Amino acid sequence: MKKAIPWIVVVIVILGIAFFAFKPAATGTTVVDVKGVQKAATDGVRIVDVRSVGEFEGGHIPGAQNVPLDQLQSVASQWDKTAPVLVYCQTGARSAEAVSMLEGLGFTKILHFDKGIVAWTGSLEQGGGSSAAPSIAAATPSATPVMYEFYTGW
Amino acid sequence: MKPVVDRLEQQYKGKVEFRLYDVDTSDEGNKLMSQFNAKYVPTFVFLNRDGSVSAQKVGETSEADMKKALDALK
Repeated sequence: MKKAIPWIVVVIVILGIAFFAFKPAATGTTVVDVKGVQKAATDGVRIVDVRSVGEFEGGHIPGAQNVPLDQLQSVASQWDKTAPVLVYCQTGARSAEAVSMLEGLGFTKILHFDKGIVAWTGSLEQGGGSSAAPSIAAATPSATPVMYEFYTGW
Repeated sequence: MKPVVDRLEQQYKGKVEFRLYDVDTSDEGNKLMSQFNAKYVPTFVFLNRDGSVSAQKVGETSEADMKKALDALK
């Protein structure tokens, strides 16, 4: 006896194929190790340390810029979102949040040193806390001019 | 000021980024405000591409003055 395939099954199969064929492109985040960080540094990638200023000054990856996590959103929104950015923190927890934040802002090439600075085997640079205040004001040369308005209840 | 700011935001779309913070509700806005040493609302801070402050205006500001400050941005 021949059984007709229920239409519902056909629809599910088609939807399934469509889902896999047209699913959104994967995010542009790549997990990197120490070698990856070293390569990124050589390539001139922006390296961002999202720890606090104090932690940063205590020792950081040479060439890294300090943007504490709580200020990343406003600072990074001024950066070129198509340029690669590498983020790290102490152990990978805060940088994971930073990755989500950057993805939300539309960054397309994010490198995540997810083991954090505890896994860093290269030399460390001390001091030079670039700090949040100047970094908020320090837009990249490619950024658009910005007008801030601070207001309260219209 | 809202209608003026809304109008200017449309006019300068793609040329200047507008970031508006209600300091009653935005912690980030409060932080930024203190970093710019702004004490009153409304305050407008105009930042060039290199991050330098081009102008800061406090209180009700005319549309013409706002435009002047926006046009001066590099």
